[in-house]
Amino acid sequence: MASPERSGTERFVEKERSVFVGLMLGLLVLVPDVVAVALANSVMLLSDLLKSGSETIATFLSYLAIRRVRQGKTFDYNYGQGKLENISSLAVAGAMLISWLIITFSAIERFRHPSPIGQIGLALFVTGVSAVINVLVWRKNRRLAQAEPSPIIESQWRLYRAKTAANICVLVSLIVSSVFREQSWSAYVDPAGAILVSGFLLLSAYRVITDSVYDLLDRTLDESLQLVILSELATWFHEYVALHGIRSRRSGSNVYIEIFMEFDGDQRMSEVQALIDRMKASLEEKIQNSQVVIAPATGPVT
Amino acid sequence: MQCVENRHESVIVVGLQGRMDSSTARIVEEKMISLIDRGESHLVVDCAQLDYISSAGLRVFLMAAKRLTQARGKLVLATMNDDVKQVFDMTGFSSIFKICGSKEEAINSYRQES
Repeated sequence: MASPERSGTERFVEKERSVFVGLMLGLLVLVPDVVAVALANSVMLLSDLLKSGSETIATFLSYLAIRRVRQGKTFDYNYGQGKLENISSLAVAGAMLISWLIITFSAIERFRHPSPIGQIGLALFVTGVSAVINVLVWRKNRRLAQAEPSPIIESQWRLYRAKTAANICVLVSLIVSSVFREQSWSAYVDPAGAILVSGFLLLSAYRVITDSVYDLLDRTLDESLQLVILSELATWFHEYVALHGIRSRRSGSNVYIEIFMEFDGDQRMSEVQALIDRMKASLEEKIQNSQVVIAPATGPVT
Repeated sequence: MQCVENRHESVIVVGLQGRMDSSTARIVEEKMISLIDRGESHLVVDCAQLDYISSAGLRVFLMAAKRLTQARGKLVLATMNDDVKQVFDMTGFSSIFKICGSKEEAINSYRQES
């Protein structure tokens, strides 16, 4: 039977592998994408290409970060390198925002100067293949994120969901533009679809940025986890004399909790330590990836 | 969040009104600490108009209960709505506090003891 530490490592290797597969697939699709854009004269496809390019760079950064985080604690980083995950997520969000700007600008230009799209056969094929790949990577990363909270995997599944939505918009817009080529309004379908894609991107970027920035600023844990901590304190209520403070924060996948308590002065240090060990083990069992420190204190700690 | 204090002989009743969350729990904490520091040991918190309580609010009650125990006092809670009671039940706080159905019942619980 695998030890908890071993399973943690295995989970991390799986996260790293998942990001690497996403990176390779992203690179694979980029080349035919360039040819398709050249043939189709579609602002939407151009935007999709730029978006895919910036996302692939961001995924590469995520891959580097996750490799670094897997190395764990060192003498230089006593708390591990979990925040690197948050920073990498911000890089992904930055790529999303740049893509949004490019798409919006290109779409506005195309609205001002409408022109028909060219050959879309290759574009349809490449986009269709991309859509299938993106759905698979999206679902895999979503499963990983549900199994264990991680900013990188969280941002990755949102990224691939946005990419899938973008692929569907591209496919629909290309088909409509092509089928109704003779209609004057069909020239506006392409930029309208591009604007729609940019909406998905903006929403995803907002979510990733808010989550990562709050964690980088050491926001306390979510309310649901705070209630778990208090529930534990209620369980051990008669074992301590006073509660002087609770601090909590998240760093990457890790959760850090500090509880400051006063114990009966007549107790021996060994008894207090044994009690602390039991409380710590009990709370760490209830909150995944948590590291709990229970510090004896005699006054308020804020 | 409003926090109103009333005396009933040796019992102090603190009436809470509004939401007790991370931004308002401090108001209740300061009120409770000031009461305990001035030697009040029989406290009733009337939750009839308390609409919501978060973990920050629970933490204030826990700290106050501990301080009162050290001062040989007690904290009794009264008239919680269903939502607040659910939070207390879920976190196990119902088992560490005496919770009465009415303010009068909570005040009388001290009289019966003395």
